[in-house]
Amino acid sequence: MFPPLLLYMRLNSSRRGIWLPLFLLWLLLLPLFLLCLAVAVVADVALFLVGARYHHCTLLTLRSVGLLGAMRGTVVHVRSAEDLVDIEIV
Amino acid sequence: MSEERLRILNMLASGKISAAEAESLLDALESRGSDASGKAGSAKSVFTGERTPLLEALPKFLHVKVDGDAGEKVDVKVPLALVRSGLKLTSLIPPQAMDGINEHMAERGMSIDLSSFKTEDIDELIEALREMEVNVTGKDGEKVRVYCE
Repeated sequence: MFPPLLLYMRLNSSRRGIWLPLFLLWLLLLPLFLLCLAVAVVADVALFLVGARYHHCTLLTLRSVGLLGAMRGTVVHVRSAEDLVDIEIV
Repeated sequence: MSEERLRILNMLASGKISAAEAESLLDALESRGSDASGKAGSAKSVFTGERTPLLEALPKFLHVKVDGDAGEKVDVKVPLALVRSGLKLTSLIPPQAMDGINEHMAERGMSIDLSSFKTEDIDELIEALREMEVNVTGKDGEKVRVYCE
């Protein structure tokens, strides 16, 4: 499940919303994620070698990204006399 | 009998799916099983989890719709995959951190042990939400509807 690629937002009385390219944000964060993944792998290996019961740092890191992907499809529409909020995560 | 076959048969017995749907789910399970047996060592993706025919039949979104008496409208759609991913993530939290979380939750009146959730429990919970529907109508005409599909 890939992280969401686009975020659509329209607030208050703006006629048109904006599409935010989240995929660019993920590209920028990719080096940081790879660094975290490398640290998690090293931590898991070290914990496994010392016989620790918990050595799932890599899975935890990967499932955190999976959690981001699970947000795809979230839609929020709020309309009132004063407020207008449209959010879509694609 | 595999867990997934048992789940399909339970859904058929409780009337949640028809006999034709159960048959197609079982066929898909068998064909998937014969494909998987030829691929030794294939790894399960931790990003997507294992996509089974049963998973495809589960409700996918939680909808909350509110129509206010003064014309306000709220429409929220939340993917249930978020619930599934979140609960699966809790099973990977280190035990020391999990004990602290459970303590804080218990102090606030929520005595739930998040580490005891299993994948099949999550799927059962989400499958049970298919039949959930809450409809509230206020005296001034405001309406609230909560359902899963």
